[in-house]
Amino acid sequence: MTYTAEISRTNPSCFVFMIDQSASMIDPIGGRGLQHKHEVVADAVNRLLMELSIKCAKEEGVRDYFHVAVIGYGGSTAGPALGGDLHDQDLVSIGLLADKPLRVEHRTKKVPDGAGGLVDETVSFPVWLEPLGNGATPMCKALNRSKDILAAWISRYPRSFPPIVLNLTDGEANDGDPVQAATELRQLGTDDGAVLLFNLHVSGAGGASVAFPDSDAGLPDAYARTLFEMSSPLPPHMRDYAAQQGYSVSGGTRGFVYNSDIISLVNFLDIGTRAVALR
Amino acid sequence: MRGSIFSYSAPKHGNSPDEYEDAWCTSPPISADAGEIAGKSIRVSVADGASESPFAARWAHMLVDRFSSAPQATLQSVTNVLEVLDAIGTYWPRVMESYAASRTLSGRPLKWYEERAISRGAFATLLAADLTLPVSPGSRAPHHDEGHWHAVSIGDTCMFQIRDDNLLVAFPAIPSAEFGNNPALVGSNHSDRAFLPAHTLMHSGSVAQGDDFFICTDALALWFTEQVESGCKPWTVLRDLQAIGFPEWLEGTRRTGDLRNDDVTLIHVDLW
Repeated sequence: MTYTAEISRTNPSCFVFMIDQSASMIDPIGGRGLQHKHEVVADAVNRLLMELSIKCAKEEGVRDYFHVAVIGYGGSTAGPALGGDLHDQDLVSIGLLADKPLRVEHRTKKVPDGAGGLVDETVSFPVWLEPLGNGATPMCKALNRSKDILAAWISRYPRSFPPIVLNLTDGEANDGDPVQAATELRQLGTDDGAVLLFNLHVSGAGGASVAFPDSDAGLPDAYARTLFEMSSPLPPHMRDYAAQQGYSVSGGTRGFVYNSDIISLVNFLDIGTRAVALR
Repeated sequence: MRGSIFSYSAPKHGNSPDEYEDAWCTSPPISADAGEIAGKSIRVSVADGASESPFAARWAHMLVDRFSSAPQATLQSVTNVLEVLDAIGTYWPRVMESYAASRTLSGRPLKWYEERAISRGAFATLLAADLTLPVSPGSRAPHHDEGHWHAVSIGDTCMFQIRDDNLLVAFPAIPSAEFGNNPALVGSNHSDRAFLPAHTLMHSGSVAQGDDFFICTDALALWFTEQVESGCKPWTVLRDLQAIGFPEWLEGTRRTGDLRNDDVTLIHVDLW
């Protein structure tokens, strides 16, 4: 059986975020009013890192169930994208990451009041990544950088739950064929399975949002179809979690999302009994 | 009729004892990990804190402590159980405020992820059972001096009753394929109170001399269920844990993969 390894501190898993920081990311996203692609991507990464941290949180610390790399690619480079104390780090533990956001903002959100209504609550919102957009889109370089990082990581943790790479992009690679680089990345793996490459496509092309499709039929453009082709199929247990969350899935469902929310990805990861309210 | 109680607990392999997030309590309490039942009844409460919530162990402890001291009639109606849960949930914010204040006073204010976790609440499964022993020693006649039990369950902490070397009751009765990482949970926030009744299971039955009751959290409950489904009698092993040695048995069963790596809690009530 693959994709069944227990995720623990002695047997952690790894998350690599690849952030498209090219100039085209400054353009507006389709169908979402005035939001810009680089803002949508930064927000998605910050929320994913927040949820991953909370998932691993204990009193006075976050357990290192995951190692995390955040790689930005734009202009001619692909390299570490975190700011502050972590600016030059390829890989950091989730515990260190949780303790070192750039800043913690306070935002107001609506929460149930227990009597059928909603009340305002001020919540902490950590920020690790600022929106950025500049120059060309060296996606192949970023995929190769991820491959190098993960090859070294896998040699240290060969029995771990396989690393997950999440590429957040508008898909407009201009340094070669990303499908080839993605295929090479996905050929890496631990004893528990191959590296999983998922893609969040933020696009100005508009059209209906799509989450975890099983074919590229209906995707709006060639960029979306390329990213779908690059994406790994969801392992069976992730398909089950996706189905529980209301997504329509099949054996061919891939880790690809088009102009939609990808925060549910965190809920596909098992580190123990889920802390979810009854419903 | 007399009875003995044995308790066994261990953290997940790889974790330290202070990372154990189950909780259990008996009323009246037993000393150390084994004791004789004093009086004609006993209440056993076991909770399993959900590992994704950082304050789960505190919540699990609060649940079993409060259920242990709840009135006798609590486990005889869903309404009574929900009243107790409501009171615990109402008190919980004060526990967290006090904890936050103590952290601030000690120069270690809450981190952002602790604040978010408090806001989302803590979660645990719960099983509480009252066992009332028969009045007349040795009596097994129906409707005559028969002891009885009442239990409540939310989630996948289970109780197994053995009589005459057979499994008489599994409560809740969960097929092995349905154990997973998404059991029903008691949350510390009031946001899910409307859904609690549908997940609050009640059961009752008789108590007789020679019965064994095994109350355990999900990893062991799953192992027990799988053993039963494959035609084995897991209670024969659990009865002998004092002689076999719990740590040795646990390590071996985990190593073979027969027991999922998780916190383990077992309360064995042996009536003799």
